[in-house]
Amino acid sequence: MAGMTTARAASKRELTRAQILDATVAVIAREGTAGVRIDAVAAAAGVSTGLIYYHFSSRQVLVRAGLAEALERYPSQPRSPGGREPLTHLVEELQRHIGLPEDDGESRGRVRTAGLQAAVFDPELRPALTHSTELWEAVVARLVGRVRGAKANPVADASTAEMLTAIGDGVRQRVLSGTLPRADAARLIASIVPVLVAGGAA
Amino acid sequence: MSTTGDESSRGRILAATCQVIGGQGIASFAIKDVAEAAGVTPQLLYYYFPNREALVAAALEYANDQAPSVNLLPGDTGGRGFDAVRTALLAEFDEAPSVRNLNVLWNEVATLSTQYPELQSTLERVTAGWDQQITVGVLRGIVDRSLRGDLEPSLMAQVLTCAVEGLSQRWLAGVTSGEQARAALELVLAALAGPVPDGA
Repeated sequence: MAGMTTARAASKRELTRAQILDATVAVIAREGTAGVRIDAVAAAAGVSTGLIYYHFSSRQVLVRAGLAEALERYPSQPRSPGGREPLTHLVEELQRHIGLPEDDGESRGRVRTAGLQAAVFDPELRPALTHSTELWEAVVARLVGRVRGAKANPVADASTAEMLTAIGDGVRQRVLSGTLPRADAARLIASIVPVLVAGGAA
Repeated sequence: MSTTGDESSRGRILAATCQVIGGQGIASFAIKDVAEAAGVTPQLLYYYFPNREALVAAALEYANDQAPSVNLLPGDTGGRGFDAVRTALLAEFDEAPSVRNLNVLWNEVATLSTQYPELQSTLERVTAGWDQQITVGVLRGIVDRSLRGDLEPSLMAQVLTCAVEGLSQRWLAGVTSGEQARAALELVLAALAGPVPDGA
């Protein structure tokens, strides 16, 4: 709802563009980029296919804009600790990003997977992907610092966060591709986080 | 082409598939481009692989057979387990087009496999095989005390292979350099190195 005021104030043209982007983001979160078809996006956004081509010159341009927008919205804010131990909080925040169904993690996972995959062949996506990755790592680094307490060190915590989020990327790809059962994935994260957090501080 | 024999035509087709998909992805690759790169006719290609799915599944097996981390480990029996595992896994981040193409193919299949049942079963098999290979290396490391003895060998192996897959996605996507990916993997390896830290 926060965007509504801005949207209302914007011109009709910008509003239409935003509707198309919203519809594209929703399709990517549900089906990945393969699901982005001009006719489907037009139907979901309630506009004509001609209007889509007016705003986005080709499907590739639409996919790129939708992915960049989706990566920007990729929620990197951690949930409040809510009385959890720092280590439990860190483990659970990482588990939110490995493609498990809880908390809409599958959709988030599809967005990140789609971003990583598309950027291989589309360098223009790299700034959005890099930005999204940096935000996620910064959140995890703060949580690592809380677990380490007095031993926290910004440089070491950032390195540990890079390791943990990269493992998260690998685990997520296996969960979404069906090669790693979800319970095993959650357990893997829970088992290895304490080891890597303890190891990196030494 | 007819003089080179069946096996090498098949091998050339699979190498060409890795090359073509490595350059443009699975979604848009054309069978005729693969045939051309392999120097065979599309008819011969279809003789070996009746459809795209069969071709990609076979190419994944081929990529797995060629992968540095699968191949280096069994041959490296002299040194410590830690060093053998480390050398094998770090070799995945090689800028050489042939190694990079194998990684691209693997990632593309992992992203798309749920839509194609035949690809999914192949991906499951090669992933399990890779994890097992690394587990064997990890067990060697536990025995020679170059890796920690207080963690499950299969957990250590899976953490390492998942780290390689995650870092590989980032490296191929251009958000991490090969050097940075290797450095991150070294940190994971260091945390698993033996002997067990005091108090653990």
